Amino acid sequence: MKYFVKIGERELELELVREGQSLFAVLGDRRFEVEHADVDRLGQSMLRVGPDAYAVSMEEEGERYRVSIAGEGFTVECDDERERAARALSGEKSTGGGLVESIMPGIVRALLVAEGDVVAPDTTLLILEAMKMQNEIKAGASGVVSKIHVAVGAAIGAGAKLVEIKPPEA
Amino acid sequence: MFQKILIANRGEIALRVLRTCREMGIKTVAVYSEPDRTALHVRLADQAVCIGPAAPRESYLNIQKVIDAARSTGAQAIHPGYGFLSEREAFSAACEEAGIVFIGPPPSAIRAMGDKISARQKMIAAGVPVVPGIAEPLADVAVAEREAARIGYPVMLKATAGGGGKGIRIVERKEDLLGAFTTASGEALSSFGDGRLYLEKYLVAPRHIEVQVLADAHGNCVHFGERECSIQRRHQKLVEETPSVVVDAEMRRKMGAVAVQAAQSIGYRNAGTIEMLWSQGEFYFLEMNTRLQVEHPITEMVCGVDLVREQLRVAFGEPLGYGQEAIQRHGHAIEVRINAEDPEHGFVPSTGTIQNLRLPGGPWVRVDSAVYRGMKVGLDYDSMLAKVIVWGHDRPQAIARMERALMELHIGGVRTGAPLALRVLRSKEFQRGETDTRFLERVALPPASDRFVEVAAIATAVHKHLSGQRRSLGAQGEQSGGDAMPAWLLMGRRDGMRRWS
Repeated sequence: MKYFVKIGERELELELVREGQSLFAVLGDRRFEVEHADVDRLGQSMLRVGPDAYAVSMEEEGERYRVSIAGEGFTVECDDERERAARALSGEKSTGGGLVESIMPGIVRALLVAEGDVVAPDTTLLILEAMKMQNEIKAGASGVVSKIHVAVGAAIGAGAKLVEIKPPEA
Repeated sequence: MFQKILIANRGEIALRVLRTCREMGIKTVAVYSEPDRTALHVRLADQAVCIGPAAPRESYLNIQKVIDAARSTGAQAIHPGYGFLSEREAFSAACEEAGIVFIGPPPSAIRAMGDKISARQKMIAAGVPVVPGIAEPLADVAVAEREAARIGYPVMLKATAGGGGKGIRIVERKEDLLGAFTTASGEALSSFGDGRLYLEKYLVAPRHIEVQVLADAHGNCVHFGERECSIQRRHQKLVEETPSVVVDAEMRRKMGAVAVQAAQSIGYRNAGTIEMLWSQGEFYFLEMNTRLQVEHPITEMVCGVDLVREQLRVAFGEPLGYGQEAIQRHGHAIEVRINAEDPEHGFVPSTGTIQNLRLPGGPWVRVDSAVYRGMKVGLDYDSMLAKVIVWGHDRPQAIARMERALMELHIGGVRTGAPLALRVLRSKEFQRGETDTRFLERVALPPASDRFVEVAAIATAVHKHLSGQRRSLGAQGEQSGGDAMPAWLLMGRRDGMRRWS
């Protein structure tokens, strides 16, 4: 099975091949025997790639994976060839930059824009309080505020829709 | 010595205090909020009292409930830890009134240092150097603009009742002053109930260097040298070390003398820290933390002292019993704070349940943590989960040891700042000692190694590959219980079968 992996800016393609009891990973013209053993059923495992041993920790985060190796952390997106084909068929597109979502849970302390306002990327849209810190949430793009999804005082979760911004007319 | 004390805190610091008490044969009383009933500080204490719901105001910050808990359990003294009630003059006074010893300074000393403006004025009067700025609360933005223009940009806006990095803004240009003033003041109001701000000069490449002091009730006061805490994010310390690369024996003597003078000028007792900014060979008083600090273990490591034991001794009324010359420093210590936060997204707090946990060990590695498997990390309390502290013969050895310890550490279920700390340690700038409080904004940290990127890719593909097999196993209903069997259990079995076949 082929896997298409994206880690930050890096895109890697690799293939896993089972031969008898052994599993091999093929990256380009390199081929490694791979051994994997679950440690505690909580996400830790031993991974051997050729002669090199790694203590790997893995957690699923929605469709992505958080992988930790020797103290470094990676957010990994991984499609196998079937998933990639399915995505290509459905013509899935990345979400546009028009929706500002909250990356943290918190309480909306102030709204600094109204629907119809023209904003620049560094315009502060609202102030979100989390862990007693007040955070300025910026527009991140130019445009016109088309919809505000939250009210002052609202407690919101991570990923909540905050403000929609319509791109400026060309 | 006290027979029983109450620890008015939670998390790693409650555990830290408890450990010394147990070593000294002192019984401990833990207090806890409802969601903390399974916390380690509760389980390891001799006695425990539930003092209310999750919200700090209704539990850990509720003076009456804490005092009542001490009374009902017969605790003779209260250790406040850091944060919560530790720097509340009213709490120190309430203890005094209840006939309970407050393990910390007298109310008057907390008051003298609690208000940053009055502290500054007192220090100027005591001849302690301070950062140029305005020592009075700013009436409004117009006054802030005028003062900023007078001392020159960049300036720093700070909450007069501040602490923990809240209510602080750096302003580079006049245009940014209004927004910064509004948010800092709002933050100060919601955090401290006091929205007043003051303003000071923002120094060039400042290092945060602080001096640990300890005073008894008999007029003796010593210092334990400095800690450099320049590596900060959002004005909260991330990496701390001692000694500082810019402090030699002579500078240490000078800074120590100023710190002792500052403490004595306000009648200080117990352990405290004089925070200073160091810039281009000069140092300036910043503020005094009238409590034990998070980063106290690095001082303990190089001085061979248990600061909590010393706190208990002087709170009981014992004289220090040693002078400045008795304090010898040896080697180099570093601490890294492990916070539940996401450095890839502006250090926003990260929440979740800790499932996957591996703590480092080995020679000269100390882990002060209250983390356990199954622990829920929410937004009610501070995001710090653990501290990793190492000692080394010299700075390069300590750095290498911390790097090794962080490579062993894994906390899963939440994001932590540990991978970022590792990159800090590996940067040339940190290794050369080129640290200042703007380090994280200024320095391009080394990227993750290519090799691990590939290993992470292989690990994920293998994980997916095995989960695919696991799902097909479940679909066939091969095991009794079929779908009811948790996926991880099936995976474990599958792995087991593979290993034994």
